[in-house]
Amino acid sequence: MSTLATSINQQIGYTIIIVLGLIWVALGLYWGRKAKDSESFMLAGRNVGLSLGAATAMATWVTSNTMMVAPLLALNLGIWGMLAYACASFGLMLFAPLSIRIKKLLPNGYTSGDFFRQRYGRVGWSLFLVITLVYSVTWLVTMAIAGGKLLETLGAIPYLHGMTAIMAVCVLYTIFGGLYAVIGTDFIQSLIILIGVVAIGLMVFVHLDFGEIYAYVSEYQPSLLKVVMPVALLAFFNNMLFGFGEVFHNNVWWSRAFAMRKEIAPKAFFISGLLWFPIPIAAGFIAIAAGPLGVNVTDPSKVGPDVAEHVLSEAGMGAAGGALILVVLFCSIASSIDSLLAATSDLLVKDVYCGLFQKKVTDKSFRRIATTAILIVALISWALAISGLDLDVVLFSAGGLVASLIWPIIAGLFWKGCNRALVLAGIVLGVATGYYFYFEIETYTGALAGGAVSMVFTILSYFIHPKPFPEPDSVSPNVS
Amino acid sequence: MPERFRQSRFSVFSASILFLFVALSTQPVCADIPQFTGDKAFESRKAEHDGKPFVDSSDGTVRLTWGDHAEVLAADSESDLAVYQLQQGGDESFANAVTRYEGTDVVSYLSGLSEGAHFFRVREADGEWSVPIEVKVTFIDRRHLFFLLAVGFTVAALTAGAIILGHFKHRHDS
Repeated sequence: MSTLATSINQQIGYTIIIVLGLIWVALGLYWGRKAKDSESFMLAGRNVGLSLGAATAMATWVTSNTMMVAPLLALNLGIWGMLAYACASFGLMLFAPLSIRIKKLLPNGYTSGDFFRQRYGRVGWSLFLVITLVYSVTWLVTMAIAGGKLLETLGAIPYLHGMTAIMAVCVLYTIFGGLYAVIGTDFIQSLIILIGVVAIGLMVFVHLDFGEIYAYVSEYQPSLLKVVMPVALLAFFNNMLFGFGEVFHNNVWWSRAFAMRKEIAPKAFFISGLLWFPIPIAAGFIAIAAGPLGVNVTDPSKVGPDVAEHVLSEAGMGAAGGALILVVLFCSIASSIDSLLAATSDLLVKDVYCGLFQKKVTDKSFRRIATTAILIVALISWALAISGLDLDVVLFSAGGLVASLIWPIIAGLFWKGCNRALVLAGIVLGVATGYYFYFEIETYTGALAGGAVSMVFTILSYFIHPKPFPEPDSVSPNVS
Repeated sequence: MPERFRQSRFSVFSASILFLFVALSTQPVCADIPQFTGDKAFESRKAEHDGKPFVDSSDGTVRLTWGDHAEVLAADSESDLAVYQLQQGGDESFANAVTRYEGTDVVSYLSGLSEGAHFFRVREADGEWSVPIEVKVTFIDRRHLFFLLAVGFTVAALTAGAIILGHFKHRHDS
């Protein structure tokens, strides 16, 4: 038990959450007035420009995982760990050309489910929905856990209370404002994140002795500096493929591609990837300094905030240092939870409720059904997050799930046809192989193995009895 | 039951309690020797190693625990807590041991350990050392590693290539 000068008490912790929460909810209500029909609620009127587009993509990708799992990877895997996490930016950059194709094929599309329904039929669509919903909830759970642990570390707020507070705030403003509120708050949150990360990074840079860090790590943590650090090298490719799968398939990114103007989408995704790249490296470096600074790590999931708090305390920032970290991390968590809640509820309403269950939704009934969907997703995630599992365990277990969808998406977007059954068999086998490798071989091999199996099947599907894809109809079923 | 018999049983019981109390109160007071603890997997590995604490690590990390972390977090002030010293040595003799942690925490997460055996021990203040724990770091087999790296590189390169190729092929499509 150590009390730093930067430690903030429960009262300040709750005050920060309540003040920020009220601001986001007020903005949600304000922007929510624009969301008059289902299209504007889900896709912000399909008219998002470059600055908002790049900011929302970057803020969404700066998740709690970036701020908390990137330091964890650096602590465990060293230099390669930092680079491994930063590789996830390549997914955003490669989504730039994909977004051009998405806009061409589905100019009036709503969700990534629309694409799977049209390219791979009802079976492929259902399979995709199961995978993406499981993954989205997994992602939400990691962020809820991170939020709870963050408030516990910095604000001495009990885990369950902090986790519940963060989820409640995000649910409220997403319900009120839809994608308008999500993109608007993302813009403000991305500015706070960038300014905060630069400010904290500069203070860390000024107060650290790099020679001392190198000497300490060389002596006590030699594997962190090794060029051939086996697990770290695996993590490099695994994370890259995890990032590809996560971005390429998830409705969070597809809904942004649909929401942005045609000529804006590729630029926004590419710029956000570039802006995002250095963030996990900066966040990760802080963690490598834990040992040299004498910070005893008790929970690796919290090493980032722990070390940042220590450095700001040494810099004489007092409680303001702790408050700064809390605000930045709260913004990073909120900017991703809101996006996921909105995108996942869109899938539940458009693909599951309207599509699979064949229910008709009008603009009048849409808000009620969307609100119910957001609440269902939030409640499931909240219930699963109560366990407070280790962040990396939850996150990386889903690697095979998302990586198995990389090649089916590429084939569907760029090829004229394929053998659908073979592609779907590849997805199922890829998921199974991913889980097997994750649990039985090595933590950082799930996405790598799942992606490889699915790629082989998809490439084979090009040559073995391929059939042309049906022409895209670009309209979701039962949407008025 | 006769009254006399009941009374004599009560006397024997009272005398036993008194004897136990006296015996315990005259025992020399000694500080607790901390011991490494863990989950079920930890206990089963310990049993496999003749009761000696033992941990396998495939990535050079280990989480060492020698007390209840929740109690430490719940403590009002640091002065209420015992101070521990955690040492690392290259072998069981701890000939060239180095101190890795000194403080009131009862958990320490260490990373970056090189391949091979590492030994750790912990003690409270200047008390007796715990039974050492052996942490054996074994990275993934190199043949498997290079095979998986080759697969990873191939999938990543083909993925990027397919997207770039597809983009240039379709960029003028209406």
